[in-house]
Amino acid sequence: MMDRNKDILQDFKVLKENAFTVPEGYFDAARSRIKKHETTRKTGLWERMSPYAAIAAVFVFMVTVGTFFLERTTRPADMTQEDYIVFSDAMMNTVGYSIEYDSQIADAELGDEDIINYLIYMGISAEEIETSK
Amino acid sequence: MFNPKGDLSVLVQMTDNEIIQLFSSGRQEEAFNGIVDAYTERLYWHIRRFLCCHEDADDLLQDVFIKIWAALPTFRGDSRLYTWLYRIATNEVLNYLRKQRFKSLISLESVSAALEQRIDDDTYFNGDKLQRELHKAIQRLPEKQRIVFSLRYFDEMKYEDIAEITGTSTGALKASYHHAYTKVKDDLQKLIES
Repeated sequence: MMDRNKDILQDFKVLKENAFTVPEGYFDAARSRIKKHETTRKTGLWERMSPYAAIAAVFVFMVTVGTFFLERTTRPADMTQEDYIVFSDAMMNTVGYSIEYDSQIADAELGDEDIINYLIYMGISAEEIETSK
Repeated sequence: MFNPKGDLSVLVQMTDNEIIQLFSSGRQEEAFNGIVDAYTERLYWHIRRFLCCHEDADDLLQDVFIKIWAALPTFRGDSRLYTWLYRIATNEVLNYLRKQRFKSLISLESVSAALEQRIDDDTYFNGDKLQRELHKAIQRLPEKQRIVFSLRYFDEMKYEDIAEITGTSTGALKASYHHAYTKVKDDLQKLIES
């Protein structure tokens, strides 16, 4: 029978010792690698702002292209069959079964990593999913 | 192989105050280098105890320092430097473990079983059978209990410091540590008596 008065975690001092090891010279190499990797990054204004500038550029491009296509597609009377084929990807999809089909295609392109990152971002835990099964 | 029981490097490490002074005077790169010198080893062991694999711990350590470098301009000194650094490392570890848990849901494998297996497979594990079983018992604990047990038992950190790192009250931490301690102790006791 288990003796509740015994405290193995206190009695065996070896348990507190570090049982893990690393390759020889690892910490010196890790320090050099981390310093080199991080401090060689530029921290100028452009470096910090470039991701936002890229997003802004993409947004402006999409608005410009979208406006152009919208202007063309809102005049169906003028549109030939050839125009329809060329611009069909840019048209808003309002047909129910087609939306469902497109979303299935989008789902098929998502990897496990994308789904996991999304769930973590939404604050959903693996335990919640397990308990909801 | 290097073991922390042996000689430590002769690296001259700055204190937290010296690092903060450098940072306050705008010498951000030097402050960061000071953090790397002083904390690489400590943060590595903190991460390693959760991941049980040198290669993964090494990758995550790099990610932790990327986060530290990115977050350094936002450090305002509201918390102490060392609890701030441990908080970043702990959050990265928790994110990693959450990802592993989701992956295990997909692959129908148990995370704690996989982590226990890692201890058996780890070529950089130098402990005896009891130490091996201790680390396996820790892997079976829930996340929060694992964190408080690791910081309190191995690092002998004060509850107030663990509270700063985890954002949990000291009362809740004491309860978590008590539960974790009892579970681990009972697991080891059963092993010895079997």
